Amino acid sequence: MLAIAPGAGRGEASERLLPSASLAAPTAIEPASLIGRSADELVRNLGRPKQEMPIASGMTWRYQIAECSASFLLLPELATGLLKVFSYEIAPRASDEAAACLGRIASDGRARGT
Amino acid sequence: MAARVAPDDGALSRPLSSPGTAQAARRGGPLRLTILLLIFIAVPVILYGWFRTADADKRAIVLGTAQQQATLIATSLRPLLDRDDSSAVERIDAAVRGLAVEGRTLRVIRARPATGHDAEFLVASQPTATAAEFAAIRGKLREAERAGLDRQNCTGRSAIEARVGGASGDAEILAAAALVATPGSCWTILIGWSSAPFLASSLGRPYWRTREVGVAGAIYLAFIAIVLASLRGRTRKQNWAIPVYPTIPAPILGRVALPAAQALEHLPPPIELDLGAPFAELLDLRKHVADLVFQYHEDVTARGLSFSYEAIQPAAIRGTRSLVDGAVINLLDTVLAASRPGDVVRVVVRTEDGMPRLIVEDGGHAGAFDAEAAPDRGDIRHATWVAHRNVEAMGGRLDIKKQANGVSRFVASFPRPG
Repeated sequence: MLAIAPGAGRGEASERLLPSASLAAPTAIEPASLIGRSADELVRNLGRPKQEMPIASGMTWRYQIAECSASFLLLPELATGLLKVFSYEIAPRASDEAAACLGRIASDGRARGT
Repeated sequence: MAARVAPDDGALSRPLSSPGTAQAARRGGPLRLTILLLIFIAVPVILYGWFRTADADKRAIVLGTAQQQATLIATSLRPLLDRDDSSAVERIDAAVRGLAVEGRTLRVIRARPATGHDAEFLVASQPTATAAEFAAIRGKLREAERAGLDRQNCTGRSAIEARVGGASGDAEILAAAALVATPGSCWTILIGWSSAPFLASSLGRPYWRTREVGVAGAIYLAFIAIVLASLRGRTRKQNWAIPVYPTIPAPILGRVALPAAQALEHLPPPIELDLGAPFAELLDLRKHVADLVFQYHEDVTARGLSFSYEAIQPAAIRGTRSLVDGAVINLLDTVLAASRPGDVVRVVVRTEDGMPRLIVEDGGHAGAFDAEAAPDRGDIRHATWVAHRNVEAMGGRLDIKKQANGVSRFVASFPRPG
């Protein structure tokens, strides 16, 4: 599923969408808020992906944990030429669980220190 | 006096120029030059207008074709664009790769203006766009927008011509953009051409900057230079030709018999003979005189006269056949006109002090010397004058002397040929 949230904003490069406390409980992350984020920002928020695959003129980043998985398609943004999040696909598909899934992925990423 | 035309010289048979003709010829030079200059200026101005129109038509055709191609590609991609899911990206990319043509770039860009998210993504590109090419892509889109592409409302299409540099240093000189609106997205299909035929064309620059026009301009300037040089050379030749009186034609000397004063008035102005000119040649005065004396033989005999011709050695002079023959013929005509039956006309060619000389003497009875000064002998005065001018034109001089025995003696002295 290609899901892009209307009105999703782009924060500064250093903006974190998650609480900084590494021991905090997983906080849900709205997937649409990641649209337009750069690769670096995605790493800062979700950690390094488990899998990187080139696709078209960009990359697909795949995150996977026991409970769910998420894929992000990063394509070059015309204004900057930098790879940025173009779309995402999250399993399970329910939108209310998607945010929780991303929260858990982020938590896992922090735990792994990536 | 009989009409005399020098042998094998067509110019000698021409009528004597009137002052009006000579002046008209002198006036005609600048006029012709002015007309030529006007033509030389008018031709490129007219051609410029024609070529500009033709170039504009050609551009319109090329741009129209480019636009059609962009629209065609957009139409072919439309089913993939409509799907709007992640897998579509791969299929769009594969389709774009399949449309790859050397010398042509193809970019597929997606924007989602309806979402308020203003990021635009390069979904597919063939060939792969380098980081440095993004600025060029943005520049072309801006140009396309100025040309009528409404990306805000995702309507319209346009083709542009602009020499936009690519990352490889090649220039894309032609671009066309077509928009495809799908639910929630606006896709831009941007095509650019950088193939050699387009690069060499006038697209994206004034047509007169093309190499072909430059070469044509150079050839035209060379043509102008050659024509002007030729005209200048012809003018110089005309200066030679102005004294078209190397011999006195019959109507003046024999039949019309203009009064002396009137005849002199009708003579063209002095000429300046450039002996260094390529058409001044080395001539054997002896041979020319011998040929003419031979031609006069029948006429002289019919008048009861006779020739005494002396020429031992060749006498080289520098000049033209027409001037030499004209001088000799007019001297012979003068002397024969002033002779009586039984007279012996003496003709001598010799070299004295290194100077070739032609000496012509009458029989001493009527006296060419006196006749030349007589007011009623304008014909003789005219002929003598022409001989005088022709000799001078070759750098020589003509002396007329009445000897004690009554013989009139004409001595034409020529400079050493050098």
